[in-house]
Amino acid sequence: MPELAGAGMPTFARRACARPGLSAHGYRAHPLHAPGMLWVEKNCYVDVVIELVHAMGGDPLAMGGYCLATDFEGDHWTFFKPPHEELRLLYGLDVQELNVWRPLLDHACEQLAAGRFISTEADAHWLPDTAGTDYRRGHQKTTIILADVDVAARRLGYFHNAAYHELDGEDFAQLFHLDQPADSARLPLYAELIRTDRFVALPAPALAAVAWARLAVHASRRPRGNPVAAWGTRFATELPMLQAAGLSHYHAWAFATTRQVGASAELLAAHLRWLAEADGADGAGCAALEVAAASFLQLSGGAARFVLKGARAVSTGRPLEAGPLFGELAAAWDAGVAAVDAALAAHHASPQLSTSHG
Amino acid sequence: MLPAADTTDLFDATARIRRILVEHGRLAVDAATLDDGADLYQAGMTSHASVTVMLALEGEFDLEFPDQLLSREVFQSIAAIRDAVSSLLVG
Repeated sequence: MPELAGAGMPTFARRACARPGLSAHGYRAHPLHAPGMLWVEKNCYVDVVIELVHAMGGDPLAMGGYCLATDFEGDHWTFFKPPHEELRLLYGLDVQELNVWRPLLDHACEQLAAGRFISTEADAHWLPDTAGTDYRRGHQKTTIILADVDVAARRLGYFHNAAYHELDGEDFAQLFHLDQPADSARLPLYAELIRTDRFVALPAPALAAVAWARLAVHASRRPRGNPVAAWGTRFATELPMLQAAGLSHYHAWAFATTRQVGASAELLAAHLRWLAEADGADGAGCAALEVAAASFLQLSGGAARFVLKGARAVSTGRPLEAGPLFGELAAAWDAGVAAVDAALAAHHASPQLSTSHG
Repeated sequence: MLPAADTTDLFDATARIRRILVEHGRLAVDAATLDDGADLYQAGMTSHASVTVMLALEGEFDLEFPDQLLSREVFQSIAAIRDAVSSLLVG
């Protein structure tokens, strides 16, 4: 491994832990990752942020309004991530790109010891928690959050997907490119520094006040048209290509489209229900939030069915008349968006809000 | 056909389901010895693998899961799969 203490360089901790007490053994994931969810895993970035906030003692359900601004982008659905501003306003977390100018492990030793986390792209090939998919089998870019590194023991504690895990030995060495000759052609993976020194676990009403404001922001930047309908139109023309390309290609397509639709809709529904509860049963707009949540859950459930129906069509080559399903899902999107608008209008018109915001 | 009351057929269906899980489920444990009611997702089956399992089941039993059975719960355990397959074969 690279020498950490070169001439004029500070000596960094050989064991650096951003948050003491984290352990893969017995780790309890947030309910957003519970088996009862339609989409237990959403996308790698959202999943690790949910678990990081949860592990810090915050409530990840307070973020999710940004899912309203997801869109169909022609060849994929928005790879949805909580905006950095949202993480700062809701939890006091500060996220900035990490300039990886030296080995990532050196950065980890210094930053984790200072109580900061590092999110980084990584190859799932060396992540043992992906035993059912890519571990020692395939190569897939994913995002993990480094939390606890022990250089001497070659052991890493990290957030990935729906939980907190540990790896060691060869996985550790490969992940950090140890025991390998220097390769100037290998570019560093994208990484972010997550500062926690201003982290705050706000009480639910205070979180809800921020979440309402953020929901209005996201509602103002939502797609102008119906993105689900646009996706359906594209799928109708794209199905023959998908069938020709085969099941492996379909899985990649479905992750980029159907999973992001379904997971973002379910996350949005969970957020809206949380907002209704956090704001109190009599809060203005809460009934409309429930309607919106039900609509987005309908969209999410339909997407979950569509993953399997699409796989069947690709696997068998049989035709798939998806028009009625897409019509149902597009209507759910419209109903959900209309209900969010109604909720925001009722909330802004409420006397309580007028008073509290003076 | 698979009458629900026919224990021989039930045993046969269970064995066929287990074989499919061994081949396509990518479980972290041996599907051949897994309890009928054990949670397959907890046993390591990913959503990716569940798609492959569904396709293999449709091929094995020559059936097509209707929309109402295209849910995570249907593929959650060997028993749940067997119930779904049985309902389709006797229906």
